Amino acid sequence: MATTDEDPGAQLDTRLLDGKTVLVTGAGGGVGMGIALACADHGAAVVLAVRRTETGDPVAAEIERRGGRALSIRCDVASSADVHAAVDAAVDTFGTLDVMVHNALAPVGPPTGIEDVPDEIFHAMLGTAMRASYLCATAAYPHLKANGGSLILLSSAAGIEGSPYIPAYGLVKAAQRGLAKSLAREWGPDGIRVNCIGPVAMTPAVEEVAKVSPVFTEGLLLNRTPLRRIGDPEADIGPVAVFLASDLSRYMTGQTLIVDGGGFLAF
Amino acid sequence: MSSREGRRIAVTGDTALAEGVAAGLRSLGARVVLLDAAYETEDDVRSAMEAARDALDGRIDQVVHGWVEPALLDPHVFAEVSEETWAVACEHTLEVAWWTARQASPALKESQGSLVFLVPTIGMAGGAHYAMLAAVAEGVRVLAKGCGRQWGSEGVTCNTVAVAPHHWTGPAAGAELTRNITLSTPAFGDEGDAAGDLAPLVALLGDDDAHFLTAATMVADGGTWMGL
Repeated sequence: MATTDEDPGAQLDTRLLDGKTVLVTGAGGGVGMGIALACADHGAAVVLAVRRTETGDPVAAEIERRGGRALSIRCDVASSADVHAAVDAAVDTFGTLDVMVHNALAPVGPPTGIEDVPDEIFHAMLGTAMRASYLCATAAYPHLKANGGSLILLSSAAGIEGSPYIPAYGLVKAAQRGLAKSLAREWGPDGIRVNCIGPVAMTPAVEEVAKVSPVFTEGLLLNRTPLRRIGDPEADIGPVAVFLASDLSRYMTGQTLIVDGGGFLAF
Repeated sequence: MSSREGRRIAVTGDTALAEGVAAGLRSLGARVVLLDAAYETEDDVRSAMEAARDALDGRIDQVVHGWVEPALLDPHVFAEVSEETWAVACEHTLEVAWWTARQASPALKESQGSLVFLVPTIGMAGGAHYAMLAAVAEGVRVLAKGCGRQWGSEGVTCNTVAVAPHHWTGPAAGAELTRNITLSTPAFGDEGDAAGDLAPLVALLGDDDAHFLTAATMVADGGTWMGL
């Protein structure tokens, strides 16, 4: 967790999400946690939907320590019952749901040729990226429609340029973008905005990669990053999610914001 | 890679688009087999690919994948889509594309051939009431990039041809989807014909002259969506 001094979002006087409720999946660590903390710092009540409450409870405690409101709830994002229960808990506890952020993803596994990707890895990614995107979107829909809300899917630059190392990851992150663009068109008349974020941040998963393959993180990844550092989940990615969740982005929908220090520059 | 005359091509999908492309490839001199698969398991795809290879006398130079679950071709109000429909239509179609790439790989590496995915442009542009088809299209388009990256060193190319949604959804829905993504009419006046307009481009992607092109998306919608 970034300290308040390091967090540019927390330095803003204006609290952009006062009165809003934000649900973040996979909020027990990494990018999800960073987004949850940033949203809470901007006044949102935050529901932390986590696979294990051991990871969500400390984040909720940190939010409350900072003076915010949070609820940690166990949620398998590929389970319809769990996702609907998390949405219901948000509404029951905080009275509304304004923003759904789907961030959770099963472990992507080691770099592998497409022919050798284990079925369980592929299907876990389909479940946590695709099934969960469907469940999060449809479960949140009536509340987002009622509130002029925002759906945010965590995608990746790999969902645009493909992945040379984990091809199934590129596939599901791209499919999420296709879904987001279409829901932006379909739900725009309902006042719902749908956008994606493609982050690169120092998450536990990237830390693991750094241990195994520093050549990748300190060499390949940093070499293509003009800002020459890997992002912080709260200080670098969180504010972008706050922007997409807030009324500042009220005329933006169907977009993917790549937040990676400039590593991937698309036309 | 091979010349068009006698090139051996396996085409998936039983849509008018797939059949039209197959007919067009035949008219260009290729030997074409439409894969006969149940598409329920990866073994179905493996068996069908092996049968196609046998029917083509032991060699496949090009695989063209356009199969989708039929439910994807109908409009759906997304908020009313059941979980079962989502799983069967969207996730399973992604799964079949994944299996096709995996099962095409051995034959294409042997022939240094090419894999071509056919997708509708709404994957890139978005399509109201066709969110599942669009999600599949974009997933498949980027799968092609992953394959292109991984197989280039073995002489295999993998590209995508993105076509007007009409070829998937029919003319009325296609026209509505197109109106939502462009302010103008197609530069060429219409969305094109599978055999006469799209098949030659698919063939081009298997030509020796296209050996340095991989992981690319060729938008062949008559000059309608120009977001790339």
